[in-house]
Amino acid sequence: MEGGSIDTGWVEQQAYDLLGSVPEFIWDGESLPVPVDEIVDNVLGLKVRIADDMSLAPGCEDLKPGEVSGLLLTHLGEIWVDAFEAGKWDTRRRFTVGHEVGHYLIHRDGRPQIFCRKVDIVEDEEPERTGPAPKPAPELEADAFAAALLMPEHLIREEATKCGANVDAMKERFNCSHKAMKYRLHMLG
Amino acid sequence: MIPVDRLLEQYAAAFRAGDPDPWPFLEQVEGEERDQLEQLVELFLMNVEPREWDPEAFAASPDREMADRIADSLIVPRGGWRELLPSLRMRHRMKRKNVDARLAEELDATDPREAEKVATYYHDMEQGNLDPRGVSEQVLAALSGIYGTTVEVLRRAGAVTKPPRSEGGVVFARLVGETDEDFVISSEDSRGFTRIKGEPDRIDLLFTDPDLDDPDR
Repeated sequence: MEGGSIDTGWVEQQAYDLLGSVPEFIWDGESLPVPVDEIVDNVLGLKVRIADDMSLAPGCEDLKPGEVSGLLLTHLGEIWVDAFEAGKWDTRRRFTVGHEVGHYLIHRDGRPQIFCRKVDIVEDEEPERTGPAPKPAPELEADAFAAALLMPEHLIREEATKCGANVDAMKERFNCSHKAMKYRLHMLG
Repeated sequence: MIPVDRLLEQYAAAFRAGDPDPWPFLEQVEGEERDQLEQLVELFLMNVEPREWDPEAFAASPDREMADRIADSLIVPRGGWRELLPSLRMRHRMKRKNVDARLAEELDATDPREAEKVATYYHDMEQGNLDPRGVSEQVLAALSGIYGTTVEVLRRAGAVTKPPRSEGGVVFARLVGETDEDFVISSEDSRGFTRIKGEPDRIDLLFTDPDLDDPDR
């Protein structure tokens, strides 16, 4: 399968629109980290489940242990997150949830199936780009959406001004990994 | 069929006589005429007896409840539970976990496992994934109390809630680890999917038993 290129500006706008639709009683639009679980649960009405065995998800009986870190079950309105990963890396859990929300908002219409490329198990929300093949566009879009959702551009710029774009300080504020923050700062220039 | 403008006049008269429910009038038309009448009713309600706006007094007044119920009546026919329940939740500025907790309390689901089950079934209601015929009066009464609406409004919404999908859905998977494939296709067949594992318990029956409210049972 060919890798894809994406319109990052459009994807950023999708995340921005979601954040803009969040009522103030759920999030004030400024507090950090962005409460992705609250937004997913209350605004999108999706239920996030932390699952010890992802093969228990309906229709996913053939999954092997540790094969997937996240699942979006569109018809049930559920996101399943691997319990091992969630327990070990909260930053990764948050990114996985954001990634699946990206699929939910961008890709769920008109696509009977979605292809996902494997990524390495590291505490790194931004997948390696040095693999044997580039990621397909839907996966890149879901990743870009997650980054924009968890690290909104305007808040990144505000915080970067405050702390001189110190990656360690900012990853703590946004509850994301060092590498994800570094990549986000690089992408936003 | 009665013309739309005539129905609006009749509704306006009923409203001024103290009956604000537009449903009996909306039920008399369909399609484009129904849309037109809904819009006219909304316009009428927006413009009737304008008064100086006092948000605090309005929030505490019976008018607020009346307006909410009228709004419920207007949105029920199209949305079903999938649209009605989230809109009620947002209107009342309630988080789902608070709705879940109150619903569990109302249903005497004090055990954490039961409470989680109630939350899952409520989620299924919001998703339009629960067959309305199986949802008991006790559940609807509890929800009407939480949301300040009526069982009738909830029942109407249930009546237009499409039954759960019988075909497969879509699974989006974020993969980890090494596999022999660069990409994995993940599709799903949800036919026959059920929340009930083994013998249904009291909570299962409250949400899934169409015969629970049958007096002859």
